[in-house]
Amino acid sequence: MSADDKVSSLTALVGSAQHGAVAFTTTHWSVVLEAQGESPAAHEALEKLCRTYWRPIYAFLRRQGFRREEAEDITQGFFAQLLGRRSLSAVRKEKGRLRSYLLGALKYFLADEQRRAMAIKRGKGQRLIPLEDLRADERIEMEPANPVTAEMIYERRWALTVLEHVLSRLKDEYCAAGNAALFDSLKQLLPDEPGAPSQAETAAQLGMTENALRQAFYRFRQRYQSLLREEIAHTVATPGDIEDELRHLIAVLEA
Amino acid sequence: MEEFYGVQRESARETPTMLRVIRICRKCGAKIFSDAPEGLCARCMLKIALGAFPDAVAGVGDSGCVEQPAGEDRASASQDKTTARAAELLGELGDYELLEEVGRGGQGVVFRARQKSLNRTVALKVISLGQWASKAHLKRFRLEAEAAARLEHPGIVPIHEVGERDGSCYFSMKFIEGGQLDEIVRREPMPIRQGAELIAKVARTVHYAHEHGILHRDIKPGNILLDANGEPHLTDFGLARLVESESSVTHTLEVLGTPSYMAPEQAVGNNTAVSSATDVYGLGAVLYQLLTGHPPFAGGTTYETIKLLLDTEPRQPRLLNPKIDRDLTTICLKCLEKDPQRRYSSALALSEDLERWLKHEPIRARRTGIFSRGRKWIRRNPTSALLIASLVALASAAGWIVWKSGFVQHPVTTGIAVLPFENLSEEKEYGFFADGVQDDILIKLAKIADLKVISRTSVMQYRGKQNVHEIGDALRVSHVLEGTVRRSGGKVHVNAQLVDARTDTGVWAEQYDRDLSDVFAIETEVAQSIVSRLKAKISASEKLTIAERPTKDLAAYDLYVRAAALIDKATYEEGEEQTKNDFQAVDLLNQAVTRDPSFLLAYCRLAEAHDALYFRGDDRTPNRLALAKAAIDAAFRLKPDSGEAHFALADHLYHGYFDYDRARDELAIALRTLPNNARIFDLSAPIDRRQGRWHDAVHNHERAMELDPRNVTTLIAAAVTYRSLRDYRQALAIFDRIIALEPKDILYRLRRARVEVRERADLRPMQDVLGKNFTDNPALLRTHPSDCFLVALWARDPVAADNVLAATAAMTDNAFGARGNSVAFSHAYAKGLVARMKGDGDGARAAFNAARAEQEKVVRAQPDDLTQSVELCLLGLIDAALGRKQEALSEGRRAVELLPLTKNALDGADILYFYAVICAEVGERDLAIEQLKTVAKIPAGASYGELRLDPLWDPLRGDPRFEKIVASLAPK
Repeated sequence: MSADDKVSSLTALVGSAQHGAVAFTTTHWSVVLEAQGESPAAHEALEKLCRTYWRPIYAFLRRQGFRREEAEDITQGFFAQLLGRRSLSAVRKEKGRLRSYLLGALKYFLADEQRRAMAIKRGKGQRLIPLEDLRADERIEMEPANPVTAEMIYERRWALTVLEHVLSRLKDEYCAAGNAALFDSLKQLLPDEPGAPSQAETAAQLGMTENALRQAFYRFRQRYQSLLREEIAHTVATPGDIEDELRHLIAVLEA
Repeated sequence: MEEFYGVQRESARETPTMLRVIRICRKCGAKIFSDAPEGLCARCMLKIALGAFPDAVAGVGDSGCVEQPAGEDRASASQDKTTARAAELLGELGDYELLEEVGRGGQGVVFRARQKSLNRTVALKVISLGQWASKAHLKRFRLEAEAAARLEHPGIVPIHEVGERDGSCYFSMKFIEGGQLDEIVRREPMPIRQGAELIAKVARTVHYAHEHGILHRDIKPGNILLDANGEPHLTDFGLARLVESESSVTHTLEVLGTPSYMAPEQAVGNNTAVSSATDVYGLGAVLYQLLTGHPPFAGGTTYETIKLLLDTEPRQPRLLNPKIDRDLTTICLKCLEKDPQRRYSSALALSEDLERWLKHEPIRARRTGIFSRGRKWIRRNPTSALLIASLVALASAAGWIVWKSGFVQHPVTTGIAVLPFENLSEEKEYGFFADGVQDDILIKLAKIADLKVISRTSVMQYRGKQNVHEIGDALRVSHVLEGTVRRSGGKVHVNAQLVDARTDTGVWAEQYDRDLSDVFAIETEVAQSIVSRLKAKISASEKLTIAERPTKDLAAYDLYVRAAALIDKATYEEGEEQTKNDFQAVDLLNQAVTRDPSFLLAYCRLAEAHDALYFRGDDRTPNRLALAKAAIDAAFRLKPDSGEAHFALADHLYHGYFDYDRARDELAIALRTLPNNARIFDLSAPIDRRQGRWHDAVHNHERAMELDPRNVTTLIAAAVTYRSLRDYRQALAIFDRIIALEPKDILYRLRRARVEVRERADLRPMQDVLGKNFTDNPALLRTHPSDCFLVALWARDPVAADNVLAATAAMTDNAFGARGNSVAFSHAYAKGLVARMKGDGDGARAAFNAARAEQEKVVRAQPDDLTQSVELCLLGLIDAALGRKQEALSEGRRAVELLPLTKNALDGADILYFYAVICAEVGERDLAIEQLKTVAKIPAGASYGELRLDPLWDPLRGDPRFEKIVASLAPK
């Protein structure tokens, strides 16, 4: 057996234990929570997070029945307000997850919007106009068209966003190293689906020995898991939450 | 605003409703849509990463957000394993072929591997040391691992080989087909007996290792593997040594992973203190986890967890799982004592006690947890704060974020407070209606066992207050419901908002605009929405009760709500106002039930109002009791299993007949459907206390305080119990809370000061409250005569004492409560005591004779055993003072007979105390000492302060036996 059949150093196998841990200091959500939104670093972190995770918010609004332009406006307004607030003083660190926090903030935002809209309609000294009196097309359609509720759409979109982000980062890494073809081949092997090409076939296709492919795949998988972990870590408060969040994301994809 | 995060750009091409299914995943069967990343099955892609993360903390989860993976996940997870098994090698390490990664911990990775030379499957653990590896560490690890390898026991995973390669250490051990304990119980909790059996076995295993000189040092669920037969196997012996350092600065948190199961002496890095008791602690922590589903301490971060485990006691297991009995709790908590010396002396002792419990035999451990919390250990280790600080510094260096934790208590994870709703109606008098809506919603939610719902008394104080976060903190709840009600004409407009108090974010909001007759539907909908938002577990019957409406008749409802407001007002007022309100309430309720004879809640409130009138003495006639009974009977006829009716009956039996046994039975039934009713616990606690079940009393007090944290009556009752148990720290803490709620009322400061007198024999706190010249303050002397007299007498200040007597001469009641329980001194007797103190023999004799004449009559007039016993006691004291030895002793004995401890543990202790005094006064020293020995031990018995300061004990002073008893009660 050639030298590259043996794993040259155990640290390759085992190393990510430390990498992962160090990465947690700089996860975005934890920075936001730690600073309670009061520092430039926190602001920047929150901005980064919003950049990635606006899509589930938008999807939620669409499912709620808002037209495209309305949904865009509200999304913009919501994030503007979120980032514009000087401090997230209300946000506490315990058990906080970005995913739930954002949705909750959005609903509150929506409720406020409604109240504001209704307040405008209230004349001086007049009573509040009850909801029924608003024109039909001013009211927000709350009933979704089919049993899939807006929340479920939000959660699903969130899970997919996480995955998209990770895969795109992984792809970038491999492409930058000139390994675009390797990425495309290895990614098929990840879910271990019956009917996917075997390692032997893939190796032949790429002109590698089977053993070399095995190692390459192992490293690919490790990197994928590490990036996934990192991405989830960016949205939770403590390391203990990562596994739970992952389980949650898997569960929402069941439907 | 300019293009924001590409919203416009991206959304233009996205049409959420036009997702196509491109194929079905052949592995898990899920549909793969056109938005699937890289065309792969998203579910499978995420599942790959399950279990691969080093920081997953056993047992600690987000209670709000965890979704249990569906049952089929288990199947596909093992399917993943199988396919991986069939797949190819990961690599090689000397004689081992690495087949599959099966676990990742803080210290390293575990692989399933094949040992080529012997062609067997093993588990290979590779330790990643990185920057912490030094020659000394490696050497120590090898020694430890090799010593552990010599252990041969069915409960210990056998180690085959220990090796080192390229700076990494590894050892191979038997591969256990099964799983880690934490994984297994995460999927489904373990039955209590099974958990106890398991720990008993593991404890025996640990003892075996101890006998061979090996400590484990890292016992936690992750290190206990269960094989296919459910038998436990302990692994990873001594690995914690790996990163032990010589200095007192602690080891890096990162490598050790969760400190939730760590013993205090380990957490502060006191390596010399680590012993077999440390392993006992670990066993206790795992037992705690198995029984309650939570580790004994779990903060949001490592730092918080350590702080908790050093400074606080674990939550009473029965609060987390009521099915755990007291003995098992005792065993568990004994392992978790902060002071290693207080734990089981060996793992064997622990397993033996568990085995006794399993066989339903009495256990050896004594219930000490409540009496003397392990604060002493903390006091002896004041440097723990310093060590935490250095821990923090080290942790930052190693890369963890350290949370600036403001609180030391457990983070609030549950509970809801329904705040008073604001009345937005134009008619201000509809305020009671808004209160009624709030109350009904509160009552509905309170019926759900899975929720903690704060009682009305505690929330009403927050009327008009805004700061939800502070409210949540003060009431220890995670959520708050606020709302507004506007009623006009035949319509009602309700606005309700559920807020997460921890983050001050809205969780749910809804508006209702309906006819007035629909108000009950609104209340139901609000309750149902909250239940679903909070993801509370709700039973079928609970679901039904939420949807019940109190009455169909709106007018009757109006009357009921007005009456309820009056009854509540009555509890805060005094005298005439109180009576007036109650009578009015009765009137309104009678009208309500006339309109709607099926209005169950109205009947219950009616009974409550009648009983209040009887008990407070406004109408202490059998007729009043009969009226109450009639209302209760009506309630039962409407619904025989109604919790409210059972509660009303319990209240009636308690206040009307002092029939505690039957009251207790009724309370137990009521509790089944009214799990959040603080009043049930309020009533249960004094019953338990009276009947000598002190621990149950404490439990009930704690429950009541949890549900009604700002109710002064509840708090006082708890403080009295803790004081009786000589847990002065708790009693004082509760008094501090009361004083914070009622800062202007000096009564509570006085009571607090009295606790300090008992604890330390120090009169100064009381003197401070009363003021230097309290005897010149006539108002004080009138309102707090007992306290003034006590201070004067015990300070042996004849002038002050004379002043008190003079000021109180005109009061007709026996004004001087002796110990705060039941026995009280008459004015004449007190006069005699003071004269005696001044050395005025004749004056004393005259006063005592007058006292005697009066007291004889009083004794004869007493209707029942309790009051007779109390007055006989005083008579005995008087006769003792007059030197009438035989009469005094026989009166004392009779008093004890009439009210033994078995009949009333609280007042009975008083009687026993004074019987001892009588014996001392008449010169029967031996008898007095004998009685005093008992009195010094029982709850509500003698305290250090009383024995040191009370002149009544003067006859015994100097007697070494007396001094020994006094010393035994002295503060440590």
